Amino acid sequence: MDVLDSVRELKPAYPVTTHAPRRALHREIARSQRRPLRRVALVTAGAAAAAAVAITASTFAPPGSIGGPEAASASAYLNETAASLRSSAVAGHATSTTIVLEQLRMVGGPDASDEPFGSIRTGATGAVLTESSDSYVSSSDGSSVTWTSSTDFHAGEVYGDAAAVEAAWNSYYGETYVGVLDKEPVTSAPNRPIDVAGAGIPVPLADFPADPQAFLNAWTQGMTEASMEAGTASGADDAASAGQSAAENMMWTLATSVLPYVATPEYRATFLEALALAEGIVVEDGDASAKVLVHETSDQRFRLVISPEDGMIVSAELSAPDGGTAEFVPEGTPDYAIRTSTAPALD
Amino acid sequence: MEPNRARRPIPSVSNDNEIIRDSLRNAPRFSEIFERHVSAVTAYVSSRVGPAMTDDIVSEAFLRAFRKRRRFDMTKTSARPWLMGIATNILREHRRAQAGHWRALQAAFAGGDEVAMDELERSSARFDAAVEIERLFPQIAALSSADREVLFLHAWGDLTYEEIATALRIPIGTVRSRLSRIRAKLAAPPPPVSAPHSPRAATTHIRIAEKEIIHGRS
Repeated sequence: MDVLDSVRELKPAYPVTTHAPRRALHREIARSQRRPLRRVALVTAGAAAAAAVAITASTFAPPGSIGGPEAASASAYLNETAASLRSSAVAGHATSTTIVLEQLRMVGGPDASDEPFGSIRTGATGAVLTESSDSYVSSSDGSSVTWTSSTDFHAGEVYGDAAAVEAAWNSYYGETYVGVLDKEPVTSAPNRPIDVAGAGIPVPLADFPADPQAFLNAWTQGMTEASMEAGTASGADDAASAGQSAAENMMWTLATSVLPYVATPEYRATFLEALALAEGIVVEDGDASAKVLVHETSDQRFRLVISPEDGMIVSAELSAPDGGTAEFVPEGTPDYAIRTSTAPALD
Repeated sequence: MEPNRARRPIPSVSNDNEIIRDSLRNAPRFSEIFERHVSAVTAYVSSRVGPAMTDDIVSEAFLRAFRKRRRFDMTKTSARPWLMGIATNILREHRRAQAGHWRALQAAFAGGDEVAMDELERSSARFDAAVEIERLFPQIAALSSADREVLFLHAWGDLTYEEIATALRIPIGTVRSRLSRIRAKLAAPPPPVSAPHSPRAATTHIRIAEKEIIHGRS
């Protein structure tokens, strides 16, 4: 017998219950839902306008640039988007933002043995694009956010072996609220405020530096602290594993969290300005009004579509090229995506 | 552990990352993460510190996970390695309890505590426990704390190499090399003592290792 198997045989087993941990968690969940909405400090309209002017100016003369080709850089587009966002905020309209979360799930692939869905494309026989969406209304002064609409998680487009996808979906979700593959998703109207100020992305939504460089520094520090908190190994090992760049972490946040989209306009603008200072983001397509920026790491590819004119992040996508390809999946379909749209709303 | 979907009204989405992401705006969804993994986490924690401390440590592990859930790596489909990593962090704060439990296990073997021995005998039914435990106890105790964490997550936590790497936030190559080194150390002859095969010598060796565990010097 292998010595590690011998160690495995030494494992003592005790009769234990999980009642106490369950009660503790449920109390914490209930407590988290009772937290009052914290008010976010606002910049004055004058300050926002001044900042917009300053940032607009920096768009045409970004730090270290001498004009010309730099006008088409990723940082220029990000700064321009931030400036437009601030200008819109000065107008003082309540805004409704709809956020659609998408995820591509593969069926029949090498990592779909225990569960019917996986993420590796090579070897898969089918795929389904899952969706869920929510709408939030930000008040005209940006101080409150109300969750107004929610469409449940459901299946969208199906690719490849439709029968295999349907069988996998129905076996897994058929008896849950999600239901069978072709079930229409339920849309509800929560109509309640959400606590975004307490959210814990590396730079808190309620307390953030106004200066983009300071914001970027704070983000870097916050993500490092989070990594060290989560880490359990030695300092050297932690340092190696915490090698995510600020650009990667910020792009990852945009592709996986709704928080940057429901933050105040000032926060979002500063976030974009800080991202403009981060390294490694390049322009993939700058011809259309919506600009496509990308950031690639050794195992992930982020794609950000922004509209500088409208001051909007249109979508943020995340893909893992290591997952290979599947010819039945349309080219360019990411693993994860957040897509947004905005419209004027009533306070 | 996959919840029983047929009996549970709580919806079950395909992967933990979807549930955790959903829990950011709908906190009660996190209870599904709890139900999926509490058995594995509890079994692991109790094996490391015994049943008396298990409730507190498991409670703290899930509370920390809930509070830090937005920091979960959403590219990971299973939360188990993440939860095991959090539990391992908390276990480090209970080195004395770990050492006491280790001593109790060894004493149960040496002294024949009926209840504990019954547990040991049931879990060790497929090999000669008396010989193997006597040989392994001091050798495991002599490992560094970092090696012991890898060993126990693998052997008692049932994590794969990749999952251990995720839990401990170390490269998978480090996990492989540590387990290879651990396997060699455990398979090697026992360290020389002044009186070979003397129970007192083995006990002394364990005590020294326990002190190292308590003071975090290993």
